[in-house]
Amino acid sequence: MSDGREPDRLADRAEADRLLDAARAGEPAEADGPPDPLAELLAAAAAPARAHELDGEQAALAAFRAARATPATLRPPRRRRLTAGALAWAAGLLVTATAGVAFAAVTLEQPPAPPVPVSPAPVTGRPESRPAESTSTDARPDVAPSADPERSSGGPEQDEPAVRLCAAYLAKKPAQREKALTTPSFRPLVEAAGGVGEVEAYCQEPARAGRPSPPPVPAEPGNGQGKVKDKDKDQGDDQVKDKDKDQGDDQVKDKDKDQGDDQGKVKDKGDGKGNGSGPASALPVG
Amino acid sequence: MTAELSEAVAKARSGDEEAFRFLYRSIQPGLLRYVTALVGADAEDVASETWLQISRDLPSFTGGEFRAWAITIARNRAMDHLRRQRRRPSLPVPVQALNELAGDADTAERAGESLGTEAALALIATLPPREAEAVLLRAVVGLDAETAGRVLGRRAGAVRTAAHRGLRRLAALLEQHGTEPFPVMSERATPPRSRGELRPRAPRAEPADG
Repeated sequence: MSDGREPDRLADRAEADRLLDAARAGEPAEADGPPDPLAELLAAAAAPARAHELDGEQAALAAFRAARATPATLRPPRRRRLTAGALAWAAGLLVTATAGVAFAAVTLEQPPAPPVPVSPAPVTGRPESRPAESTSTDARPDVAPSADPERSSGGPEQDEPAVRLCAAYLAKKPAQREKALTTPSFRPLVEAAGGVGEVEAYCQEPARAGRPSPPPVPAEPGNGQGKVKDKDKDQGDDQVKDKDKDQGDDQVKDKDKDQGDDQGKVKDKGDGKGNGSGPASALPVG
Repeated sequence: MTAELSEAVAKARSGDEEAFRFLYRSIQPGLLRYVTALVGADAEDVASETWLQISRDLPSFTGGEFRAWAITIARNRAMDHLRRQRRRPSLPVPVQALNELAGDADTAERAGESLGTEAALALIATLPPREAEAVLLRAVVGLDAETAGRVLGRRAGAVRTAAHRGLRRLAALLEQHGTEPFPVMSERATPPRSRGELRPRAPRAEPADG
C-alpha cells in the first residue's frame, strides 16, 4: 500500500463485505485487535435512530391514514371505467328489451292502419340504419333526424311514430302546439305532414286521430293514471324540450322506439311495467 | 429483522397503523441518511415525499424486499429533487448545516465511538457518488449487495466493487487524520452533497484496487 502502515485488510471485496455486513447488523466488526477506525466509522454511520430523524413520524402516519381513507390512486379510475362500461351495457340492454316489448304492445293494440301518405322529406341521404344498432343510449350516431327511407315506405310500424307524435301534439294546448313543432322531437311529424302548417290537418286524419286525443281537459295534477293527455298536461312541453336536448340528434327510429316504450306503458300498461331505471322510461312524454 | 419487517408490511397493508409506525421507525433513519448523502439539506423534505408515496402505494407493493422498495422510492424522489434543483440557480452550501455536522462529531460521543454519526455520514458522502451510495445502502440502509444492485440498477458485483473502493478510500482518509478529533466538516470547502463533482482528495495516491 501507499504507506505500509497497516496490512491491507481491504485486499478483497469479501473483506469489505464483511465490514459492511457487520455495520448493517450493528455488530462490532472486530472483537479482537485494536479498534478499527473504519469499522467505527461504519458503526457510527449505521447507529440507531436519533430522535430528530424521526421527526416526520406524525406526518407519515397522517399520510398513511389519508391513504387508507382514500384507496390507492391506481384503482378508482379502473373501477370507474368498468362501472361506466357496465352501466352503458345495462342501459343498452334495457333500452333494447323494453323497446321491443313496448313496440310489440303498441303494434298489437293498434288497428291495422292504412298506409299513410307520407311525403318523403327532402333530406334522404342518410345511410340506412337498423334499430338494433342502438343498444346503448350513449352510442349515438351523429346524424340529423331526417326522414328515413324505410319510414316513408308505409306500413303500420312506420305509422306508429306519427300516431304517437300526433297524440302528443294534440294533447298540447293550442298555444303551445306551434312552439312544440319547432322542437326536434316533433320534427318527424312535421316532415311527415309536409310542413308545420299541415300538422294540424295531418293529425286530424282518421288514421292518426283514431288514438284518444280529446281536447285538453284540466286535470288534477298527480292523479297518476297515466293517460296520455294527463301526462302531457301535467308535465308540459318543457319535458319535451328537455328530452330533445338529451337525445339531440338521436336516430329517429331509435328514438321512436324509446318513446314507444313510454307510450306503451302509459297507454296500455299503465303502471304495470315498473322498469323505472332505464333512461328511456324516465322520460314522461308520450 | 426481515421476518419482522415482512409481518409489519402485511399488517400495514391491511390498515394497521402501529405496524406502519414500526416500518417508519425501522426504515426512516437509514433512508434519511441515505437521502442526505444524495440531496443534502433538503433530505427531510425528500424523505417526507417518500413516505407520502409509500403510504399511497403500499397497496400496490407486491412483495419482495420492502426495504429495497422503500429505498427505491426514496432514490427516485431524490433524483427528481435534484433535477428540479438543477433548473433553479444552485444554492450555496448552507454553512450552518456544516457547522452543525461538525458540532455533532463532538457532542454525539458514545461509548466506543470516536466519531459522531453525522461526521461519519458526511465523510461517506465525500466519496464518489457510486461508492457513497454503495456503502450507504450496504452498511446504513442494510441491504445486501444483490438488493442494493437492484435499487441502483446495477449488478451485485458492481455494487461490491464500488463499496470496496469506497471503504478503501475511507480507510485512507481516516488514516490520514489519525485519531485526532475528526475535522472533516470544518475543512471541507465543498459540500458533501455535490454529487458527480470532484472533491478535494487526500493528497496521497488512491490505493489501487486489488
